[in-house]
Amino acid sequence: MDQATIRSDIQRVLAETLGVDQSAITPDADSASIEGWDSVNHLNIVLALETTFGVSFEPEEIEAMASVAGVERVVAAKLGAI
Amino acid sequence: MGEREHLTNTASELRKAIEHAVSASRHTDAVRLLRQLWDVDPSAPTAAFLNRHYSALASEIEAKPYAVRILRSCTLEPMIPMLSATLRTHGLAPSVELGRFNAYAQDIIEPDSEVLAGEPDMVVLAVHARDLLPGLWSRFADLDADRVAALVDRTARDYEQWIDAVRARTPGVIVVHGFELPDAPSLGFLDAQTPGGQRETIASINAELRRLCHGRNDVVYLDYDALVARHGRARAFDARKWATVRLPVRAEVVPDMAREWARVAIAHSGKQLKCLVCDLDNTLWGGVIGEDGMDGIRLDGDHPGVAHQELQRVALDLYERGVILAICSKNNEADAMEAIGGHPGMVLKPDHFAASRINWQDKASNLREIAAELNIGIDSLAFIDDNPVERAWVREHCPEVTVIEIGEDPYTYAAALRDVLGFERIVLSSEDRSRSRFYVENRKRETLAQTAMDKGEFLGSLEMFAEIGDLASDRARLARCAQLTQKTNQFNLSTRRYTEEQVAQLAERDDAQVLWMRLGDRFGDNGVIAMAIVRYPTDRPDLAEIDTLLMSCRVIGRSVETGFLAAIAAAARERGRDRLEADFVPTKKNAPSKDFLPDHAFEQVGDLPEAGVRWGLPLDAAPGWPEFIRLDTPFATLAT
Repeated sequence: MDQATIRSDIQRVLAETLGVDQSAITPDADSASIEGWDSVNHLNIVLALETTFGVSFEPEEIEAMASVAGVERVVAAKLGAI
Repeated sequence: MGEREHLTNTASELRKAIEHAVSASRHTDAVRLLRQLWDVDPSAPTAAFLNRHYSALASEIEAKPYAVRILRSCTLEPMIPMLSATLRTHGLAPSVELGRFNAYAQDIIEPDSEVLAGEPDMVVLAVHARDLLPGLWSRFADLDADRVAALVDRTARDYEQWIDAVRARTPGVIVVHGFELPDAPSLGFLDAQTPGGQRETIASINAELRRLCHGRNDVVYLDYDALVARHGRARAFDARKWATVRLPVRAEVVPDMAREWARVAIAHSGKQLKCLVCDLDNTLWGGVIGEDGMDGIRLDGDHPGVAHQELQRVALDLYERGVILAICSKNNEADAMEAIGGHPGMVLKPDHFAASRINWQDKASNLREIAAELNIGIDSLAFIDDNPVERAWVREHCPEVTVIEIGEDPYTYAAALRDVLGFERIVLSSEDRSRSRFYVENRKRETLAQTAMDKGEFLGSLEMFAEIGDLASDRARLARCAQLTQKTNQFNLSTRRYTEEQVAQLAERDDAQVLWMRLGDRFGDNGVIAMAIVRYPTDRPDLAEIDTLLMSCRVIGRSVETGFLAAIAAAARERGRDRLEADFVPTKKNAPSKDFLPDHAFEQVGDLPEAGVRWGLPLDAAPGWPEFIRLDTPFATLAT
């Protein structure tokens, strides 16, 4: 899986789960700047990413995923793409 | 819409097509595509996508409100969007709410707890063994036999109280989760060798819960351990998720748990499927009968024919559950019938099919004809066909039909059919079990009708016999009576839906009466085919009000409806009343009962909102018992 595909999958999962347009999923967006990104949706995002990429995140990784950049970093590291 | 869109089947293409249909206000297309998307990709992001679109379309589509409340010990939030999406694709408008975290006992017992307000349609009791039975679960080795027995006993008593407490708040269906069995019992291998071992103990609690559920109306046991086992006990649980967020299952099991709840909700809501329409070539058997011939098609107990035999076995299970079977195939009818009747590998026989369309017409038209012939709604059909082009055609031209999504591997067909939510039933009356047979018998009755000379001769030749009863003196008919109010759409004057609880209460009241009618003929026993709720208002001592009068469509036109009205009149006369009144409330589906009241000399006495009409009839103008039906047991003042 190349980096562009991973990035676009992450974008889609975040946009659909949070109910926002994909254009709102910018690298600097985070749980504070996107309204629907509460604790329930954070769990939904984590589970959707686990299913999409076939991985299971550590609690520390889940904590580090509270921003778009954080999600991309954790997923990429998990998949060994970087 | 071009051929390309017929064959769109990837999730991303479907999402685009949906957004396109929504922006062009093609609502029917949008709903059809949303259903297809959910079949193709039942994931969490898709659930969010679906829920958002369905909410936006709410004013454009007809959906039945359905309230689900889930009382829980652990984190179930991620299942909620999945459950909502599944229910929406089945024609429901769900509102799903969770009780407070690990406060299920308070939510149940507090008589004014918010989560149980408003008589929800379904209440789930989802309690995890790790939460309720920590001792049995993780410190089993410390417990002596007496302590274990006391825990089992207390748990069963708690559940009995809880179920009754929930019942006091709502007449809806109650779903009770059983407990998961531990993957590795504390005694290891020895657990299975020891009487009263850990797994045996938790299984015995499950047996107690099952017994509690079976003894009550509309209480359903959910075999949680079977759900876990299906995914592999070791794989289904994610210890980190439990330790950090108290989520009882791994991410990939989340949709399956939501699906188990949806199974009950759909069966309970009256959105069941009634008929399975099967393709033949490469579906019920391998190969093409017109080309390969009787000797060439693959249908036996070995590879590769066994995959198709297994599919037929599942269809036979559905038949035994009361699902009507029909055939829709592009073939020469003679070739196909020869194979169905004569191939030694056929599990299904010609007598299992109530209707067939074996011709070269398009399948959408054939499906409409099958629905019309069986006198059931087109939305109660499911269609199974190996050919993706036929499936796409039916999806587009009969969007009401449930098209079963199957891939190219015949070995997956049986499981796909078994998993169709709409074929689930939460109760099965003896009428349900025999329904599929009734429809086959009806086909024979119609053949007789075509050969009989006039209607009187035909009715006489049916040799009909009937029994009429009052539910107050025969509770055995309760489940069937309630079910008729839930499911009857066409011959139903007021379409008021009642739960078993409510029907039972009406039957007990002094100012109401619940009547039922059973009908048989020379072809078979149809079981209870009609029911009525009659109210005797205390402030109008002259009046009997027909609150509900409904009848199964397969007996209409045989003077049965006149007979049942005569019985209602006789019952009213017995209570000293001299006038009958009834409301006709029009719905999208009850046109077949529209003329029933005026045809039986009722006169219009008033208008009701939304084009409804109130009709009245002096009892001395009520019809007598029809000549072609033998009354087996005396009822009221009816002449036999």
